Order: sequence, then structure tokens, then C-alpha cells
Amino acid sequence: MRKIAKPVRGRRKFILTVGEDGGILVYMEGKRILRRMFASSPEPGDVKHFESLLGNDPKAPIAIMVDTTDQTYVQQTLPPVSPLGLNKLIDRRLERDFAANDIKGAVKLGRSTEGRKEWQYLFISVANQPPLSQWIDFVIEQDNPCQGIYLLPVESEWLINKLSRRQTGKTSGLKLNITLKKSSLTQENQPANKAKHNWVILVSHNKVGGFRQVVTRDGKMVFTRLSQPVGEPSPGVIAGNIEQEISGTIEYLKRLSYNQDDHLEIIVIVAHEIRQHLSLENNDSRQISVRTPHEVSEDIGLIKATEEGDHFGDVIFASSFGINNKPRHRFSVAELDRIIQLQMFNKGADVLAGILVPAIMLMTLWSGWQIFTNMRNISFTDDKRHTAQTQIDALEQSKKELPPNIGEIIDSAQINGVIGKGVYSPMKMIAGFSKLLDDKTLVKSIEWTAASSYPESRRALNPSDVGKPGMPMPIEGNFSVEFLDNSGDADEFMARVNKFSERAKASFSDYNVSFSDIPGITGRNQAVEVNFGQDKNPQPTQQVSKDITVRYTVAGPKLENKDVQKGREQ
Amino acid sequence: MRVAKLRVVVVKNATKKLAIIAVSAIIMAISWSFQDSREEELKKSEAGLRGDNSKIQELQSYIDSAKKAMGDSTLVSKLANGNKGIDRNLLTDSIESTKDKYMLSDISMRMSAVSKLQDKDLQKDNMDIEHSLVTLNFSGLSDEILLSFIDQIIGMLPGYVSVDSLQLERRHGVDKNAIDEILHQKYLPLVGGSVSFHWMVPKAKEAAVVQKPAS
Repeated sequence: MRKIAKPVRGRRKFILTVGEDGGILVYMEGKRILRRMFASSPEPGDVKHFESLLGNDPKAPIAIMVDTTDQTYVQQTLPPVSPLGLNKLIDRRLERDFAANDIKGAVKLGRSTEGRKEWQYLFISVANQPPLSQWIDFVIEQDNPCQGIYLLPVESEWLINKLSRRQTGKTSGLKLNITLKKSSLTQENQPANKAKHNWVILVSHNKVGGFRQVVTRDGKMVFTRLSQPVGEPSPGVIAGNIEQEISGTIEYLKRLSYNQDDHLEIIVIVAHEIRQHLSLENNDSRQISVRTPHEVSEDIGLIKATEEGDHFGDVIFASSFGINNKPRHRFSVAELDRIIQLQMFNKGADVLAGILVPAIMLMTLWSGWQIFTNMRNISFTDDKRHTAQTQIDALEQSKKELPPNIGEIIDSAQINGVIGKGVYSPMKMIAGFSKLLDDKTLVKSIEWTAASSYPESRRALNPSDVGKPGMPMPIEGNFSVEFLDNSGDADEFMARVNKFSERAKASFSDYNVSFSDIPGITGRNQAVEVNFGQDKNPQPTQQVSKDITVRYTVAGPKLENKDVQKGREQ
Repeated sequence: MRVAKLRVVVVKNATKKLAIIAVSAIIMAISWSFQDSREEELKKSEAGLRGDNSKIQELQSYIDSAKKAMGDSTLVSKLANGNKGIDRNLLTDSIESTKDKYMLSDISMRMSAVSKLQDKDLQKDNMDIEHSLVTLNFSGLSDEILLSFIDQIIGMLPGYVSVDSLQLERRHGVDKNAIDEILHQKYLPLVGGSVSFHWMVPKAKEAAVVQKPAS
């Protein structure tokens, strides 16, 4: 057994193309063909090498590509029902029109844009009989997951569109070494947009089927045909067969609305020897390309799919199906469906386990990390508690060493902190004021009050309001001062009073110092009456008595609470 | 044939996967359960540590307060009477013993009923504050003598004295007759006045009360 190179990238898969003349198994990875092999029949003796290759990679899925003769294609027009109703309608039609044992399905062609906008479908049926049924049984018995059954003509749409587009995108098909008639070239140069429909005929000489023709109209498969070579298998005879087949097909296409105005492209995949004998001048085609399997393989980017001397197109079809990620239609049989369901269930279990187990393991790991962290933190905390306990013991010991009445002492200190802030005494203010006196001044009376003394302040007044505008000052002293031995002159007296006041203000800088109206002195805020007719000197001269009493008020401190503290000892 | 074989394979695989999931889930559940118990233990341990730290702070604060209180010399005078509360006799005795020294011509005293201050800040475990409002009316020879008298009386009282108001007024001038009378040892009411003050004295609570650390 040849050792298969380990795939580097891309998904590995098997495509088994089966026909009346045998089967071809292609093993590919992405666009690279790893192995290809042929078996003449599905008999056990003929497919041992298939089993061996499949067994080498049992996880790689396998798809069956059917290239048998017994395929029925019927174009049907369905009424414009909803998509849900459409499926039921298709199922009913399939049950009605085809045998129960047939492999059947319907491929959507489109929807008419005019009239009732009916659905256009291609109903397809394949006889489930040997050798196809044997090949299906063979695949079912393998461990590889089966993707389904696909029909080669249906899945050729992608290849045809790819080849047709490439042909259109290049300068011409001249590198294909084919000689076209002048008329054909002229036709080719005509604008394609004048054509009503684009028709493409793909003819491939396949090993397991024969001459497979697939016709697409506007990119959708509308017709297919499989025929066997007639006569001796020489290149010239085969080329003649192909020419006849194409000619016959074009004639048939006229029944399917093909006309001279439509664009027709013919793509032929044959061996080099046959191409040399092929002559397609006498037909209505506007574009013709004849390529060898190897040239097609290179055109669609396949790697190691073919060799230059290859004669057949089977591998091309299989490989193009392998690299196309959007199969046109999947067919199946009941047993295959059950297997696929079981395989999906199995895969679902794998996926579920694949998600759940790592998730659970991650959560367990996280939990384990949390346990580790918590245990470490518990250890740290225990250590800290041990240290704390030592500290508590030391403090307890210190506490025991305190005097027995320490509770009273602490309470006293705290009480002192509360009451001490509200204790006031007048002595300091009175002492301060007495320093202002001299032998010609005498204090007749003192009235001293504290607005915020404790505890009255707490009951009648918010201590924080004391001293604010409109509120009483913390402390207030009223001193009635008698000024003795005045000369009688008001100005001289006022000078004495003002001097005293200045000294008082300097001494009590944090307080408001004011004095009352003075008897015999008219202030600016008092009315003045002067008789100009009788008084020789109309000036409002004033005389004062010898001893005059002035009432001084010292209130403060001026500012808020921080300064209130200063006044407590005033 | 293949379907039956595959069914067995699928059942085996599903069972195997289910078993793996179940075992993983059991391990996870055990791990979570253990994690929960560790978290509980950690919470308890941390709560204990917080309690210990709180106790340390409480003790430290108590000891600091005690040391600070013991180092406060002003408290000595406040506690001079041994925290026995207001003793009315102390005030009357003080006045009685000093009124002649300051040559007071007359003096009267009014003292309100002794009460406990109910202020929130003064609610202590070991101490109450007794309070009385005292008003003294007096007259004497001069304002200096009367102020000295007031200063001495206040200084002799334990606890806290906060003066509410003070009035002093010269009632008579000093003439020849007045000087004669003073020389004949007569205490003339040349200056009269009054002083009103709050007297607050700490009083220790009954010994039966358990001492608690100050908050």
C-alpha cells in the first residue's frame, strides 16, 4: 500500500463516481488530489483497494457521484404557491410521477417573471438498481461518513459555469488549438447581450459512463444525455461519435426553445488524440472550446488531479464537485438517511462532549484556583489573627495595669472636653478693661453676660450660631466709665473719649467696642436747632459738664467658633 | 447491517461521551462544594480578623484615652472632691469663711435644686454630672474687693463653674463720712452686685455598675 502524504491543509474527502462501466474513487484534500483509483464493478473482489483507501482515513466523508444511464429529467411548471406549500406539492408530484424505489428529487430552475409567476422545477429520478444500488451498499458498509448521493449532470452546473466564464474572460479559446470557421469567429464577436439565452453544451468522454452531455441554459441545467461510443474505439471514430452527439443535441435543444438568436457555447473534454480528429465547424455554435482533461484541471486550479496523457473526464467532474462548497442537490435513500442521522447524532455527541467537557474542566480549574487562593488567604488571615491575638493579649495586660478608677478618669476627661468648651469667666475681660483706666476715669458699673455658657447655651441657643450676624455675641461686657475733671469744652472732652476708645479697641482687637451717646454732645444722628435772630454767634457750640459718664460695650469675639474659644477666658 | 452496526457504535460513543461529561460534572460539583466550604471558612476567618482588629482599636483607644486622661493635670482639680457631686455645704462654708476677709456688708445666695445634666454628650458609663445654678447678691467696699471675692469662691469650688452674668455697680461715693465709718470697722455697701453661675460637678455612679470601655 502506498503511503499517503499527510494533508497539510483543507478538508479531506472521498468522491466516488459510479457508472455502468465501474467506479472511480477520488481522494482529495482541498484542491489537491491525493489518490484516484478505478474499479470495474462493486463486486467485493474488485473494490478491495477502495476499501483499503477508505479504511486509511475513516473520518473523511464520502460522496457518491452518479453517472449512470437511467436518469430521468422532467421539467415541470408548478403553481405559484408559498415555499412551504411548494415543498409538499413537490413531494406529492415526486411520489406520483416516479417509482417508490427510485432515488428522486427536484431542482429549482427559477420562477417566471411574467404571467402567474409559476415555479420552474426539474424533476429528477434515478433508478435504484445495480450497479448503482450495489455501489450505494458498498459505501454504506464503509466506516466513512456518507454525505449523500449526487448526480453528475446536476452538479456539473458549477464546472460548466466556471469553464464558460473563463472562456468568456479570456481573449479566446485559440490556445485550445482548434480551428474555427470564419463564420464562427464572426458569430463569436457579436455582442452576447443580443442573445435571448445563453446555452452551454458540455461534452465529456467519461470512463465509467461514456459520452456525458450536459446542457445549461442561463447557468441552469436543462438537459443531459449519456451515450456509449459506437463502432471501433479509435480516436477518429470517437471524434465522429462526439460530433454526431452534439449535432443531435442541438437539434433536440430546438425543442427546448433554442433558436438562432441565442448564444451557444460548446465545451468538449476529450483526450488529445480525439481532439485532433474533432471537427465542429458545421454547427450553429458561436463559441467552441475543446480541452483535454489535464487542461481543464489546470484551468480550474486542481492540483495533481490529472496527467497530460489522461483520456477521461471523470476525475475532473469528481474533483470540481469536491472543491465546490455548494452542491446543487443532495439525493438519498432511506437507509443512507438513517445512517446519516446516526452519524449526525454521533457527531452531535462528539461536539456536545467537545464543548461541555472543556467547559467543565475550565470551570473545575477555575474552582481549583479559587480553592487554592482561598486556602492561601485563610492561611494568611490565620497568621494575622495570631499576631492580632498577641497584640490583644499585650493590650489586655496594659489595661489591667491601669488604675482601678480609670473609667472615671476617662469619663472625666471626656466630660472635660465637652463642658470645658462652654465655661466662661468675666475676670480676664474686666482685668483688661481696668488697665485702660487712669486717675481721671472711674468705672461706675459693670454688666457682664455670656450668651453661650454651658449648659444654658445648649438648651436655649445653638452654640454654632453665637456671634453670627443678628445673633448675640458670645460674651458682652458693659462698662459705665465716668470721665472726671473735664474743662467743659466739648471738643476737648470728645478728644478724651476718642482716645480712650482707641485704647479700648487696641486692647480688645477681637471685639467690637462701642460707646453710648454722651450727655450734652450732639451727634450727627441728632437734630440741631439754632436761633439766628437772637444768637450773636450762630454756630452750634456745645458745653459739657465736669464729670460725664460714658457707657462702653465690649462684645465678641468677632468671628466664628474658632475664635469663640479665645473669649471663654475673657 | 450497517445501520445496526452504526447504531451500536453511536450508542457506545454517546454513552462514553455522556460518562465523560458526567464524571467531569461530578468532579466539578465536588470542587465547587469544596470551594464553597473554603469560602465560608475564609469569610469566618476574615470576620474574626475584623473583630480582632476592632478589639485592638478599642483597647488601644481606651488605653490611649486613659493615658491622656491620666496625664491631664487639669483633671486633678476637677476630681478633687473624689467625684462626689455637688456639696452645697462646701459653697456655704466657703462663703462663710471668706465674707469677713473681703469685708462684705451683706451677701445672700440662691441655689437651684441639684439635678443631673441629661445632655447626650455627657452620658457616661461611670460618671454623671450634677448641676446647680447659683446666684450670689452682695455688696462691699470696692469693685476690686468684690471681684477678688468672686474669684476666690469660684476657685474653691470643685468641678466646673461657668459664669452666666455679673453686675457690679457703685452705689455711693467715698466722702469724709464714709472714710470715717470705714476707719471704724464698718463695712459700707459702696459697691453692690450679683453674679450668676452654673456649678457642675462630676459624680461617680454606683460601684455596682460595671465599667465599660469608653466608646
